Amino acid sequence: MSESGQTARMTCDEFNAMLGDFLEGGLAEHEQQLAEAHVASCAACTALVSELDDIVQAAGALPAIAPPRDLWPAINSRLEAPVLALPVRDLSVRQPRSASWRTLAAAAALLVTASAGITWTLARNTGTTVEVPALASGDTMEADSSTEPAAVAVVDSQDRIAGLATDAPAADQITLREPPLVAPLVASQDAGSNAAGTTSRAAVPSNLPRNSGAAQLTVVANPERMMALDTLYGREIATLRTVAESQLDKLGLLDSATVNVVRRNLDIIDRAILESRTALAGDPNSAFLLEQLDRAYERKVDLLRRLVLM
Amino acid sequence: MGAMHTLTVTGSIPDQLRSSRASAINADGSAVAATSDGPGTDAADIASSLAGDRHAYERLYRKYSQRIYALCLRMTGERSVAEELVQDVFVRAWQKLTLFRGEAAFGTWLHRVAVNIVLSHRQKAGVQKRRTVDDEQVLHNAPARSVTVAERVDLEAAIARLPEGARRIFVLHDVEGYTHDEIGSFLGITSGGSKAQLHRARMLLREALLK
Repeated sequence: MSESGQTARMTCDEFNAMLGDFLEGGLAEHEQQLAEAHVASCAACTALVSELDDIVQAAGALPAIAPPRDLWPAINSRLEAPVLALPVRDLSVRQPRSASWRTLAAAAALLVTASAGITWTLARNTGTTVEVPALASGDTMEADSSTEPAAVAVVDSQDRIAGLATDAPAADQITLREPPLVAPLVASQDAGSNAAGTTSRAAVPSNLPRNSGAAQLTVVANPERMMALDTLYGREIATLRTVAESQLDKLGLLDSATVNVVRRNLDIIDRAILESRTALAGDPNSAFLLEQLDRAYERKVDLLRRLVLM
Repeated sequence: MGAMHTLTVTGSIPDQLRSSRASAINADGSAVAATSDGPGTDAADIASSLAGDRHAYERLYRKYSQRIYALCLRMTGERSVAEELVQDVFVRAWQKLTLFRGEAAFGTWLHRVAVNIVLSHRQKAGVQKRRTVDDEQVLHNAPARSVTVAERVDLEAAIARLPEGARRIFVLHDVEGYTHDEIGSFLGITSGGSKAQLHRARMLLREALLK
């Protein structure tokens, strides 16, 4: 510090208080001039600035680091595997043992919610009718994956959202039927072709351009990208849902408050997905909106992933 | 206020994403062959990868894995976690490759995928394992550095000992070259919050390097 602890116009304490903005160029012009004048007249603060600048420069020059082992074999083995490498011990739905009917029903309803958004998404994409899981009245909850879907309907977005938000069924009046798992929209053109390191990319709709080796990238329009997102996440959400169903007894032990929180969060995320898609319909070339849709899907997958890992 | 030993690492102040950085080191610090990431070769490999060519995708992995691993390692401070995250990044990127618009360099796009995955991982880890120690104390309580600044600047080690919040912002800004606005978007914080954390990180590093 200068002997008196200050310069003619700015003390060291004052300079330190704005040091961060000074280094980042975030000061107003007048403040910047005062700060520069202080630095020019204070050896200690000059040294401080120099030291911090050294750190910045050193950080910028840090090299890349090679992984300690070759990670490619592990990556390669996962390219065709489900995105989530969860230990699916038993995909068959087990009969609950210790959870109450009420909590099991709440968990079952949660699983229906979990796949609803993506089901709607795929229905909108394909313009087809989608079988929708229904929660029918009944005395018991059936955990039988072999039962037929209880209802067939064309999903309406607003109805779906409203239903997610408000139609939590009475806990002891639920018959859980197997919602349709989300199937790939289209079969991959490359299915089965694994020769010479070439494999199918099931997440890629077949109507996307497939470059057979040309050096130029084909610009893919946003609608196709959106469909690719739907398919990618649809597959993962379906996988997660299947895993969750295999753990129905465990999920049934969750506190009802927890189930409600997860359910509300799924509602919020599904709304974000819907809003992004709606906005994309009006502005189909918006990279920002596509990224927002991607992030919403990521959040949904993340939430479901945490749910099954509880 | 004592003058700090001059850091001996040379280089320029971070520019945007440093996609042209060619130097790399092995985990043990030895040098590895330089990589080149010219956009022309990427276009061919990306196109082939889109057609399902894993060899082409492996070439992209070989080209960018060092940079992605460095990001993951510096952001997490844990080698095993960084290795897992690198795998997640390249698996996710393979699945999302159709979303790559070609408007930015592939390395930049891949880097963003990596940042999102790393931050998502940290959020989940944070839920599962809350810190019980005030993170402000983490650096101060860290073992004294065994290597002096005069001998060799162990900036990496000092970064690894930063509190998590400060570390990730320091890495994203000063090492990787993201702007405060971009960091704010990643982390859901304001640009001002990012600046404040960055300054805190730099001051903590300076203090650690002066020990």
